[in-house]
Amino acid sequence: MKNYETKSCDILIIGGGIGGLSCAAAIKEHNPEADVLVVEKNFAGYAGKANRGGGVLQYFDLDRISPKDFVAYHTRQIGAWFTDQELMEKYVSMNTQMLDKLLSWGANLPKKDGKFVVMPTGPMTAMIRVDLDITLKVRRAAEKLGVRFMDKTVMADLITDAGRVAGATVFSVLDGSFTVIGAKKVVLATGSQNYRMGSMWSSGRGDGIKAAYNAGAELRNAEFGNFAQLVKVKSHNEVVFGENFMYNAKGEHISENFLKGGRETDINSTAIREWYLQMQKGNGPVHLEMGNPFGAPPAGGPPAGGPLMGGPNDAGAARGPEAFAGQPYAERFRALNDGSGDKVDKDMEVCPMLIGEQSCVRVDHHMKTSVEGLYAIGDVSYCGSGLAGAVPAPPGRNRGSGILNAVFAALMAAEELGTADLSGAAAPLSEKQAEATMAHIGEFLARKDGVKPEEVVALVQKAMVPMEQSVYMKAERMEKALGIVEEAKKLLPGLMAADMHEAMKCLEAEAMVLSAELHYRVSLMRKESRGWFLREDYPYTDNLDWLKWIIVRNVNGEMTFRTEDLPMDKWAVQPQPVVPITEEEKNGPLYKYFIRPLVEPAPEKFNMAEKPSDPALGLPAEDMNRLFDPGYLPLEVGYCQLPNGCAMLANLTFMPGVTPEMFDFWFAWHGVEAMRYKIWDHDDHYFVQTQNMEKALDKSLSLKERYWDTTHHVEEDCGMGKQTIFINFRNPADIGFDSEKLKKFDGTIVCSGGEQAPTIMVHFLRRVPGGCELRTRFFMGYNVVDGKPHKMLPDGVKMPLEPVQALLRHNIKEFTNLAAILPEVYGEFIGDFT
Amino acid sequence: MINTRHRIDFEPEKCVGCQQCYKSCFVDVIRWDAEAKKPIFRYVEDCEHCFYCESVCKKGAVHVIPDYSSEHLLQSFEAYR
Repeated sequence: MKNYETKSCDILIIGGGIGGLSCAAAIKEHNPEADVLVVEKNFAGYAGKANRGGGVLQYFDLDRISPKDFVAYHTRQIGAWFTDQELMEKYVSMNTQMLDKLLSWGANLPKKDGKFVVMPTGPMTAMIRVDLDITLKVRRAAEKLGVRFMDKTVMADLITDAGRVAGATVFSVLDGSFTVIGAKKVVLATGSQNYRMGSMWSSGRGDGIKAAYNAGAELRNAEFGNFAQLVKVKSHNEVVFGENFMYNAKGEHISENFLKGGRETDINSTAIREWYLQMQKGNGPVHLEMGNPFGAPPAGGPPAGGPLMGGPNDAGAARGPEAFAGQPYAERFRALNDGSGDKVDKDMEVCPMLIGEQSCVRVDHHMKTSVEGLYAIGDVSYCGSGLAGAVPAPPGRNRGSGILNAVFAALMAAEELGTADLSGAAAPLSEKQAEATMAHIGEFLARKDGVKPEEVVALVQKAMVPMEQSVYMKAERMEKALGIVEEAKKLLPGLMAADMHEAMKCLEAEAMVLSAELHYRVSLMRKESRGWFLREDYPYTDNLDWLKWIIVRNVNGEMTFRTEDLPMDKWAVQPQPVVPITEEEKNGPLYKYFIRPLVEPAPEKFNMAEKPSDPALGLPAEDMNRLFDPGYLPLEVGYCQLPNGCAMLANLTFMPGVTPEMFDFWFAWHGVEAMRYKIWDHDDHYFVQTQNMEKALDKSLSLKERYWDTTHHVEEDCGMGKQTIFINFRNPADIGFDSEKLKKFDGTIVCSGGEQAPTIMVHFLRRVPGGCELRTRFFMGYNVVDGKPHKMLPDGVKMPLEPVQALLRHNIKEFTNLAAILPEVYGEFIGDFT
Repeated sequence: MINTRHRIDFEPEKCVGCQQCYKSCFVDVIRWDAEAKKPIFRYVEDCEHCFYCESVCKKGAVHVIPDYSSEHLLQSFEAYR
């Protein structure tokens, strides 16, 4: 005799948080005839995260910004090219529709004079507060629409049939009775994986990730699943925006080390890394000092210092009743939370807390997984949908998107489910699968000398929680953490439970082990840093090799991995193209320099290249020895026509840590191999080949001698399109520099010029405190005759200035970048070269 | 968090049996005694001090008393202080 009940419905929704309930209600609005059943571990409407201090909805002022603007911003600044641009455009476009939908379901959104009360969070974004009864309001709306509910009911596993979902095996956590539910469609709305750390996130235990994985669904973006937040060290209360106000024990404002562009709208993993590095250096503890460290906020940005948003948990925020006007739930909830925390936290010392948020079930634009009939919405598939990009979510640097993503995903799924033909038969419900699931739970209950779920969770936390393992990652630290996960995995067959509450926790422990294993296996594969994903051993984003998702799938119990190229050709916002490289170059030792973003020059340097300077300020080539004079010449950055019709440009680059020997090394070394030229400026440098290879490789010569009187054939774009150039490097004494002065000079001069060449190039490098400064001059219209500069431009002709300006811009760009990489390149390659 | 020592104080005389605290718990700490029409704080060791039960109790019968010292963030530098 069966010791379980059997039920059926059209659409089974697992999880009664904001996503599941919104989906249920929206399906019924599309199709009142659909039989929709929501199963919830605790109580639908009270469960989930939306009603526990999330309390904010992302708002887009669509009169001011277009969805395409936000897509471009998100793709570049947040999603790190991993944003599904099509889906994001839809999400932004539907903002008003979603807010109206929530209002129609009874959500309490503050309005003043008929308009939403909006708080700006950044140039593109804003938020609206929402009271913490939002989930309950949606449950009531769903009930009115005829949705059925089973509360206190745990989903133990899905049931499948030939690659199609057929239903789920569930049990009552109250009395332990099992029910096998057959369904034509199943929606996972079970939340993300939060590893049971943060209090408001504690319900995210990865049940749906495990169920989807077991059913053979594809997972993606599992590596972007470790959000962390700064919390006060004693109460562990979050300090939203705290990353702007971090100070070490020496009183240094360490936020400046990672917030190069000033305030951010949400925490990034670089803040976590900074905390770790400061602590490691012995500069801890780290504390927050409220104030206004970045000066006035940018227009439209979040207000600086003092009260930030007037919201809960905000660093320095006013938390008076006015912040929650008309929102009694939020007010009471926050008063309790803060009141309790403030009793123990007297100061503002902070450290990071793992929040997690792995949400990796892969879904299409209607939230359908790769298993037929199975959908996944909200936090179980936020990253898996591609909407989040390369950040864990929510909030994933996109504040207020958590609840709205759940509502969005719910509506997208409901659009398909609400119009689906439900007249056909459900897939056959495998009793064997259901009974195996029940037997598995029976074993937890039968075991006497086993392992408590907390022992497993403790190991998972030991692996996942330390920031240097899960957020600021490195291969050996991840291997170590994975070893701990393996230990935890070995304990799983011994899990025991005294009752159904513990049986539920045993299932959760299994899901946590799976999530942790997924995280480390996939993170070890991704050999780059991107978005929130930060590796110490691969610190740069690699858009050449890693515009790829890592797809994980369970094939007959084995965890399998493959990569899949992102469909960049379908999307409008593209990374800046770089010059092509060969497969060999990709696998060589210079690739790591090649993929680094070019270091951006100070904008004021480009300003100086805006207009030609006064010819009177220019230095004619005949006067090049004036470069030996102490101090500076009238024109150090700029370009001009010389009174004789020739043109010149000047550029000044500080090169920290660079020595004259390094600079000579660079010119001797780089002509040997094209890739060496490419790493100098990956936007514009296509090719180099010295025409005097023997000399370049002759170790008996000095570094200078190895490039003097050699010719480099280069292909590069100096701002006027790709061109082929031959550069004749010369001994500076041979082009007009004073031999006596050269003897006393402790810098170096790299120069080119000749009888045939119409330009003289001079890189005059002199020592300054902290490194060297490079003073570049190009003299256009000059060749070298009899060892001296000679004006070859016919009288009465004027050099056109457009290419001069373009070359100056190019020069600013390439030497800023060379200054940044040269000491490291020299350190790595000087040994083999000399 | 695990292995915490948070406490929930309950004043039964104030309780009107509305079940709000029972329903509000998202980690199954609170069960319901149908006969007595009162909550049972059954699995307090799993309390995450989210304060939702206390928030929703209109009679002020439920009090969550967190023991923050029993919560561990498990960071490598946690013992730094």
